Amino acid sequence: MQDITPLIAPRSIAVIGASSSPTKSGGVLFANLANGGFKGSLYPINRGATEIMGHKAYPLLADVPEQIDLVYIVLPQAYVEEAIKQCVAAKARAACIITAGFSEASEKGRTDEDSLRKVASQSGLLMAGPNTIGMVNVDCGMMGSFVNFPRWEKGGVSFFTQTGIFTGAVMLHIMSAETQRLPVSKSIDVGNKIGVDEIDFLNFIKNDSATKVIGLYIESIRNPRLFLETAREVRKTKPIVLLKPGQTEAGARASTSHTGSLASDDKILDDGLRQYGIARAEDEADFLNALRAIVMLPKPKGKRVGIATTSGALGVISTDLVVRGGLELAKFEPGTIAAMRTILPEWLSPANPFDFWIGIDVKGPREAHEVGLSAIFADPNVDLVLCTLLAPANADFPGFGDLLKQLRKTHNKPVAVTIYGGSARARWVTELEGAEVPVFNTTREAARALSLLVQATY
Amino acid sequence: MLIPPPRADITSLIAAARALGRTVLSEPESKAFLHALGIPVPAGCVVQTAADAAKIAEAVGFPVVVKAVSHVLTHKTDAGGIVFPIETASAAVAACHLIAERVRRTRPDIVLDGFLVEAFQPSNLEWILSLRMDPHYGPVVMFGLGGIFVELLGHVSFRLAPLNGNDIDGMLAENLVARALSCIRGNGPADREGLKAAIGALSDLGARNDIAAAISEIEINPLTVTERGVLALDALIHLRP
Repeated sequence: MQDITPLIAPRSIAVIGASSSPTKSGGVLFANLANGGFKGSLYPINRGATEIMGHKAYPLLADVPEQIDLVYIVLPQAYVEEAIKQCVAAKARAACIITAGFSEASEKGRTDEDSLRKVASQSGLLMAGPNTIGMVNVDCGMMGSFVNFPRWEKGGVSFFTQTGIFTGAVMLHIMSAETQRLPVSKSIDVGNKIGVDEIDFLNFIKNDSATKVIGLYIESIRNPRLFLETAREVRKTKPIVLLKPGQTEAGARASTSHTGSLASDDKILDDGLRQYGIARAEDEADFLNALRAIVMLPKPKGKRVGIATTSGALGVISTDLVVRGGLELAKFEPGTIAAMRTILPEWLSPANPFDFWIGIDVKGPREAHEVGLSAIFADPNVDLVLCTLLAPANADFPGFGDLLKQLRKTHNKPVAVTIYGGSARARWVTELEGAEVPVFNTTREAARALSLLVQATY
Repeated sequence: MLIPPPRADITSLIAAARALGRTVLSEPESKAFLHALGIPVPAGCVVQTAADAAKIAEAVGFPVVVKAVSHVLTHKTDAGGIVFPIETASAAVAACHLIAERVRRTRPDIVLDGFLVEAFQPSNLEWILSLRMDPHYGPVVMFGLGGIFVELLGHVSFRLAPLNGNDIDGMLAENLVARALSCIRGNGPADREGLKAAIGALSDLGARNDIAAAISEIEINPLTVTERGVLALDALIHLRP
């Protein structure tokens, strides 16, 4: 097992291909590192410059006066191999090759990639890339990417991805959200994955105190059995969500047995993930929603859901989604039913889903929401709460956010919220900021997030 | 094989097939293997002649099923190699002749090793249970709806071996499987404990290094699961080439 600390949490960084140009990848990446508050030493490597952004520049890596943990390589494709040779010669511990144009591009690129591997093979050099947007570690202030990220919400989610620009776009999307921003610790994109892989990452992140939840985007798994076994071990302390496309690829194995024909890699992976409690996301929204739910919410004590709603239709829709997602409907205690009755007319019997819209007419919006939501949160048979609420003017009241915030805190149960329509929606969502209450665009997304939370943590 | 088959030793069964240069165990050999693992198989015996088939049928008790035996013929149904239910001794004789004729016609390349005469076990629902040494995932256990349309149905699930109690329960809790196991057309509830034991037996086997090195796949299809227990009605074991 190799220790990849020098790659992910380096004490010193050099950038081969650093420049002062704001239009070149090497310039932007160096500027991001220089302005990102990196806590270690930083060296630009450039044959034509003596100084870049206040940092003394060196013509070659070997000229740098200390042994370097991590070298970013941001050069045209033809010069990458020479740069890797420099890394090996200077005994650098890790290299991140930003440059594209390798196996993802052409046959020649594939051959070039093989020779990079060969050059590094005996040296123990840890490699990420090629074809990556780079690596970010918020904890040590490493903004090692040519994408200029505006702001990071420092927090507990760490990503390992195997893709080019997708990671950057997803990160930008996360950061540009006005509310419900996903808190990130690390984002490690290994691109074509010629060196460090998902198993190295999991072994590192297992002991990383800043990481609470792990998001993996993987296109090909190098050692599926070892991956699943490692993930099972890590999952004991850190929930994992995997996004791996290719579910529809036909099982390519010719086989004389039924079992052999049915044993496609993806089918075994899917079932193995379920066996070991790793959540599998279906698409990018599902992925981010699950991570947001898991990082914000406590571990559920079971899978019984209490549904609170102010719409009969959304209540029934929620029921379908909950059951289809492998969760169960909670059976309310008599005390819960009695509390619910106080906001309903006599002729109406409360049930799960609990629709208390009429309670708004009977008792006003504040009391209806207070009693309706409190009853569900407090019920001992409810492990998770799904709230799907309407926010027109007549359902609005001051302190909606405080109410949910307080219920979330008092009962410490997972909750997912959807708020539909109406003038109050935007304010309600804003009021929930900082409350560790995830809000979703649709009932489907909310129910699905709870389902993946249960898969990953229960 | 006697009625019921004796407890053979699985490593000697593997060695015997290897000594003959074979990588497939025939149905009776595979069943002897399963029996040795404690997975129930129907009472029965391999015979060489139609006359012996009649004698064994009477010893086993009617109705019986007669099947072609060959380690080369892995899909017997396709070649018409199975006849059931057989109610009389003369029908058993006729079944042997019929099977021999059908196999001659559909698979002229095959020389039969004999006929397997077994107690006939009617079943409503057929299951499949396998252990596979997967090239990427190592030993995996598969369980689900079986029969000859198993690939079309696609209702199977895999677990990485070894399986713990929760893993086995999870397998049996999968949507359609759970419903099918609970009650089928007026039958009593299926013997879940027997089924769990059979799954556990394959899982334990998958965790053994000597077995993982010798076998590439064990497939029981169909397996019946009734209130009277589980029974492996057909099975095929592939050794590593």
